[in-house]
Amino acid sequence: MIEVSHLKFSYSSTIPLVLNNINLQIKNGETISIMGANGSGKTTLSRCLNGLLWPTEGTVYVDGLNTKNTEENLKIRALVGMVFQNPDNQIVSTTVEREIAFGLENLGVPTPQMQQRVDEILRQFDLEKYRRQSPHYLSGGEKQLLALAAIFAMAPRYIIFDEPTSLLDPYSREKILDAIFGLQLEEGITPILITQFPEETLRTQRLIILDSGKIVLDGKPTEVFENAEYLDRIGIAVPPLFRLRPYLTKMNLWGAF
Amino acid sequence: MGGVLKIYLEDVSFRYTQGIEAFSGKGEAIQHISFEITPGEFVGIVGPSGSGKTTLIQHFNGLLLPTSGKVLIDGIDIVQRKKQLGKIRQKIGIIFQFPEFQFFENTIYNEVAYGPRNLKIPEDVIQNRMRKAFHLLNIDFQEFKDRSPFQLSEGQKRRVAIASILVMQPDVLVFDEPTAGLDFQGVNRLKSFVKELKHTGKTVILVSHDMDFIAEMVDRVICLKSGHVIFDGTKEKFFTDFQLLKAANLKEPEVLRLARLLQSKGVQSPFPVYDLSTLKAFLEHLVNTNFNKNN
Repeated sequence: MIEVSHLKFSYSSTIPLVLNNINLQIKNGETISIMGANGSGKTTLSRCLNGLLWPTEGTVYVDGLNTKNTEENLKIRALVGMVFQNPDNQIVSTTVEREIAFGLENLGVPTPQMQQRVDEILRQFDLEKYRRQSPHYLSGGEKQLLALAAIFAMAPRYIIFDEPTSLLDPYSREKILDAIFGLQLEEGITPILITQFPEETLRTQRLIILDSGKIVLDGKPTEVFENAEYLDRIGIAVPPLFRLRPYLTKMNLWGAF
Repeated sequence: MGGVLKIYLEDVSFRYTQGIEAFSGKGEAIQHISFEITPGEFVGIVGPSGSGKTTLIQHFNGLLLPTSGKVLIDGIDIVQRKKQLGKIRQKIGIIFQFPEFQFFENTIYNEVAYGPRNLKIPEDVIQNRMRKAFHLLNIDFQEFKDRSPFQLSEGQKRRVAIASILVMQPDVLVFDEPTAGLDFQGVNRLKSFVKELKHTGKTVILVSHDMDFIAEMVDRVICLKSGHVIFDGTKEKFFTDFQLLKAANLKEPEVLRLARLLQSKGVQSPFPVYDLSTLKAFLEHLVNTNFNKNN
């Protein structure tokens, strides 16, 4: 479980708090999504969850480990994987295959198992044809796929996805989401999905809305989207279907789609 | 003030390097592409991830030169007359996926002024253009001019990148995945900005996976798959061809799907409809006139 209590965060004492009194518990096996306008604190929160940033006030515990405890730092990063929005910030290796092996090597996985895992992942992500190619020559969307694959390979307990599909075509997006939620079922990984695509959150059990560093809504996505007008005001996209909900309800057509 | 620039491609193919091709078996990134984009057109370029869209648009201003085939910009062959490339790049501005990678100046003012200063455009003219661009993009000039371009939100970075292209006064604006990473408000701002461009006569080319965005913004769609053009025609035709959409890893725009489903339930909704506000207004009207009376 990840437990966040009274978390406040500020990059400097002269600018306002980026996170303001966040209280949040994420249980193992839960699927959770986070939405918020640009600058609402989503990325800062995600960096607090894996110890990349330390709380200014309050605490974050990952499976009982305090993220402020430097000795637990590596353990926490192994527990909480992170897939960033811009794959160029993440990819370091000279070939696709080596990129996937990179994290496994750092974790000290023996070579035969590593090779097997790399093969498995290349197949799962449909990257076999590029295995000896430089990541540099992949398209933006393919790089995003590779960055995801490299984190998946390490099988952390939680994975934070920071807009993992923003550059992918709709079909590949579905595939990534299938992989994310498939992993949750098969390998017990708890996915935390930060996204700008409201329809993606419908695949999670719980949706959290951040506004100006605070949690303003927390519930089932279908319930959260009932507040379409409020979400409009704070700049959060609502699935088109939910925008039409009041009219469809009056026409007795809600639920027919 | 309108654009006059024509983009003409004839049998264009491009491959990155022999070496990469040998490794990947991917072959040419784009193959045998021919089309023409005339001034003032709004065109969407779509297709699966890795289908060659970004490679293609880099041919429009000579960032990449074709391995074979011809690219004529305003009648000028970009391979034969490389000296003209500087001029062409002023006329065709490309806004890439992650604009912050192009930033390098210490202030937003210097960042945006960089291009026109290189062209020795007088400072007062630059400032004038910048104020206009910022106004159009809803950036407060006084508040932002001295800030660092690196300390901006995603949406702000995107807008500063667009501003630095606008001050060059291009005839053609090419956007590569402009909605990626933008929030709802950011996308709405971008949409109204692009719609504004319609009145200026500029050519707009949008590369995007966001089908609702493409459907609302453009008239013509060019669809790529594995480096080939598999469709070039009106959006009306494109978005109702489900087989084609599937072949291109794409989906029917959600607004179109909802309108279609409404029709199948016997509601005479407008079809095709490409923006949600139109559909919403229609339903609102319908509910207000019919359903309230019945109840």
